[in-house]
Amino acid sequence: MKFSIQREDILKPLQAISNVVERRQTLPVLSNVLLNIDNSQLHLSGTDLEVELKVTIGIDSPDNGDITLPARKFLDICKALPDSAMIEIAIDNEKARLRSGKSRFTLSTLPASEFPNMESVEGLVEFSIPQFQLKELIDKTQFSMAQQDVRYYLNGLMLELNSDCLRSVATDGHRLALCELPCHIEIEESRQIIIPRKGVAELSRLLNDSDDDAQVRIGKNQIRVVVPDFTFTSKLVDGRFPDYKRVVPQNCDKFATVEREVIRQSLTRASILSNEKYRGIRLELKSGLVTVHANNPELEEAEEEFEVEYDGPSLEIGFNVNYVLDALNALTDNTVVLHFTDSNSSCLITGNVEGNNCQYVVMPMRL
Amino acid sequence: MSSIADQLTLGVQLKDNASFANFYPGDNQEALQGLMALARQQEPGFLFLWGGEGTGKSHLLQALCHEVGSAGDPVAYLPLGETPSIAPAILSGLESMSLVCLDDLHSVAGDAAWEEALFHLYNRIQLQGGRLVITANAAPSLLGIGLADLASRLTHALIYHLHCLNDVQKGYALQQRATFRGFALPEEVLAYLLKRCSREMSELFDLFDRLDQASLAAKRRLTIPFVRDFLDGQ
Amino acid sequence: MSDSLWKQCLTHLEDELSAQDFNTWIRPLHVIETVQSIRLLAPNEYVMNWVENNFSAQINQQLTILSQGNYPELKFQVGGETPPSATQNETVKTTRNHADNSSALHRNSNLNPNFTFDSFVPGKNSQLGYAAAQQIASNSGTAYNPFFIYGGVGLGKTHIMHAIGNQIKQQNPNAKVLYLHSERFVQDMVKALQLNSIENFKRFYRGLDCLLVDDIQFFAGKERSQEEFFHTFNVLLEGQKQVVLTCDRYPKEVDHLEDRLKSRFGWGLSALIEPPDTETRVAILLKKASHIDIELPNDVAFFIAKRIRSNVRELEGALRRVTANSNFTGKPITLDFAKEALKDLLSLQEKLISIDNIQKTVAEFYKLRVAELLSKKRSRSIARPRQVAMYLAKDLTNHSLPEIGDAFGGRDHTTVLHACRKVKSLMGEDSRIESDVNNLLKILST
Repeated sequence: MKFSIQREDILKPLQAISNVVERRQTLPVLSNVLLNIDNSQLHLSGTDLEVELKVTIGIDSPDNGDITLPARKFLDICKALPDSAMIEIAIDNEKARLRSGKSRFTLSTLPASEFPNMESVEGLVEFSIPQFQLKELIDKTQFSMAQQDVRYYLNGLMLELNSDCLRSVATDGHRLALCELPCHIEIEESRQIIIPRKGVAELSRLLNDSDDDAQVRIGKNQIRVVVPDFTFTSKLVDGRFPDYKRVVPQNCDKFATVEREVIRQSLTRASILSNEKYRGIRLELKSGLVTVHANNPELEEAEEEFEVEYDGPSLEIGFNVNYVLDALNALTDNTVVLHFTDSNSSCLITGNVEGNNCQYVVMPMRL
Repeated sequence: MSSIADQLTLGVQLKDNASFANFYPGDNQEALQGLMALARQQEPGFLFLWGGEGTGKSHLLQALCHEVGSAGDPVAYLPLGETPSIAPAILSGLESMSLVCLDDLHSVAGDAAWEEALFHLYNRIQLQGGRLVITANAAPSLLGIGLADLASRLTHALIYHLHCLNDVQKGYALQQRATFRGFALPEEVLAYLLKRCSREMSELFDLFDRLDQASLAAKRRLTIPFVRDFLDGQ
Repeated sequence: MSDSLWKQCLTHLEDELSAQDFNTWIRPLHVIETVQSIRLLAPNEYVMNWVENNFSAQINQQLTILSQGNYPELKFQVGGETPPSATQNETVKTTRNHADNSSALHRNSNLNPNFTFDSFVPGKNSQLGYAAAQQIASNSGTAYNPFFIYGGVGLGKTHIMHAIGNQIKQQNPNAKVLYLHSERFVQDMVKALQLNSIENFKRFYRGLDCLLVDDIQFFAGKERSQEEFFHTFNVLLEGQKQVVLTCDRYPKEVDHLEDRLKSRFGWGLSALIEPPDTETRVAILLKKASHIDIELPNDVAFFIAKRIRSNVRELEGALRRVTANSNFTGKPITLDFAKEALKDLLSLQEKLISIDNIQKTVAEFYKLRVAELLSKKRSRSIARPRQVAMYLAKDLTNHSLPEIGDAFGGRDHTTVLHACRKVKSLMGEDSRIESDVNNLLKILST
């Protein structure tokens, strides 16, 4: 098996695949990338058994065949070669020989037969959605996922499939992010799946802002996303997601409307002097005005004021400033609305236009 | 200014209201089956469950109410231990329920007004062909019921004695609860809890709930250091 | 949305309220829902008030959110699917209920079809009552009126009463027969007074062909009910309509019952039902078992009958226990199996009936001290009670003869054996001994 390819053609796919491949693998073949040539198509695959990425590149080679190479080393070599270099790869005697200009490399290989293939996804549900929209659903919510919670269902992103819309929800128990986009799905009953953290991060990295359709196929315990450049598969978290609708406050009676940029910058400045670990800030909401207080164990203090559209009773409420900033950063509206009930109830942050598709719920800190 | 415990949390824990599925039966398999059969049947039925604290009496009754009530039949659950909020007048008309559950009968044993009201309720349910389940901390004959008419009727029930869980079973029961909440309790933490804390099942479950909440608020895993800190702070 | 508004509201309430509150207060509510209104029917005023005071805010809030502006009118009422009664006209009824109460009543005599003469097992304890009841059923209103059945709990008084009613209905399906518990009569009357429908009440009860009232001792202290019942009773008797009453004691012994009622209750025939003897208990068990299609070996029936003596209900409870356990384990019912299945129940009996307890009870009964009972004294006034106590210990506990001998001041097991034989034979000859033993048995096993 022998083929040649230009450095730039293989670099990006290889980069994406090595992100999927885990550095420390118990199974040696898992740190390898699978190369498969079939009919002048080069398919590259990497997997960590939870997620799998497959990229296809057109090449000019009469050979067919497959082999696996150490992904990281292969990538590092390609990266280190000069721009526009042609790379020639030949396999013989269980070794891969790379040549480019005056450079020669011999890499170890493992047979492709050892490479695990994620079982094909039985498509229980299939639909298509423009790539940029799928990316939006993920990016507007993924930051609210839990990092390493004992509750497995929090360490992922919930995707809810309805016949007329697609909804993404992520929560770590302190805040929750929800995004909804219209989408036509052939489905009788709405369905929820949880994509694990790693799958979410990879998918977000892979998707771009094009309006090409992404084909989404959801099986019993897998999701597969196919776009022209790649095929991505992830296992699903096996379990239920909590009833998020319960968590979105329904009874807010105090609404403060404010320029997003104003509150964002004000909070960013105040946050500098909040406790580094707990990130607490205090908001004092009065008619037309918000005062922000932050202090830290070193007894340093910050105080900020900004104007709001608000005419309700005074309210004092504490937050982890990061949670509020995350929400403000994810929103794109110029003006945002903060919905309050009282100091001990969750706050809802949304854009100020009708039918805004993103909602952020932040639970306060007790002052 | 704030300590981590002051972060309030969203209600994102998975609901695990009492059901038959999340009851760890231990040696009480037969009673569990008896109740499940009663939930399915439309015919009259009368069960009496007795056992000590933490043997799962209330859980089983709640589960039964959930099962029968969710199917749309009217049911009533009466915690007779909560006597300030309930009085014998609450029993009137209950024969129109498809199922009546009376929890903690011992709490009102010896109280003449309650006993007579319960006796009449029994008769009315009997006449209507409804279902009745009673729990108490002792067998009917040892409850000290003053009204002989009521005492003899209680012995007519299909009586189940609920047994306490042993330590191994308590561990399983906690583990099962964790699974229903979507996480695993590490073995060493489980052993630590069983060794350090009350052996009383209801208290163990209560402690478990608080630990669950604390770990969510603190975004910490359930490790022995975390549990130790938590217990010290109690 | 396919789910009704109330159903959606329920889902939210179940989430918000504790399981206990939800099961205690919300699940009993029966709902009648239309586009304009939601009526919540509580089984009684107590529940209605509690729900209204404690949960109406939450219910309202949910409905406001869920109905999105089309907020229905919310009403709390008392009602539900109550059994038919003479005074139900004014209470709210649900769809399943019939509008016409009196006709519903005629269809519904409240008789349990399983309680027939055939399914009753008469023994020495109940022969008289049983025979009289059969006569009454065939000559309703003329044989003995009223028929007054009395005796301890769980012995079959109610069964005999239903059997009379069932047979009358069988002979004359149009006969207006009504079985009810005395409490029901009281309730109906109170309701009738509240609703100003006492005339309906009177007309209804006085128009019956046969009235069966259970446990009339619960009339005690309820003067207005006694008064009303007195008149009903008189009208029925004058019209030769059959009245059957049960009570836990002889009419004259019921406290707080008007004298004129006491004396009237004694006009007809009074029959005492006593606890069944072992043979009758065995027969009851076998009959019951065959009724529910269970093969109950004789030795098992005998074992249960011997151990459980207090009343028929408990006997049936024990049979259920054995049956349920056999169904659960899939094992056939044998003597060993029954002993295992009833272990709990019997160990409780033993807790109640220990040799100690027997000695204490017998000593008390004969006005002796326990020490005397256990002493070496051989005078008749002590030796006879001692023998009775030994007999009871053998009969009621699981202890062996030597163990019993030990417990009685270290006597030889042959002494115990002799005592048992002696008491047994005396019971056939001396009615005083017989009644002593029976009374002691009653005291010890209830």
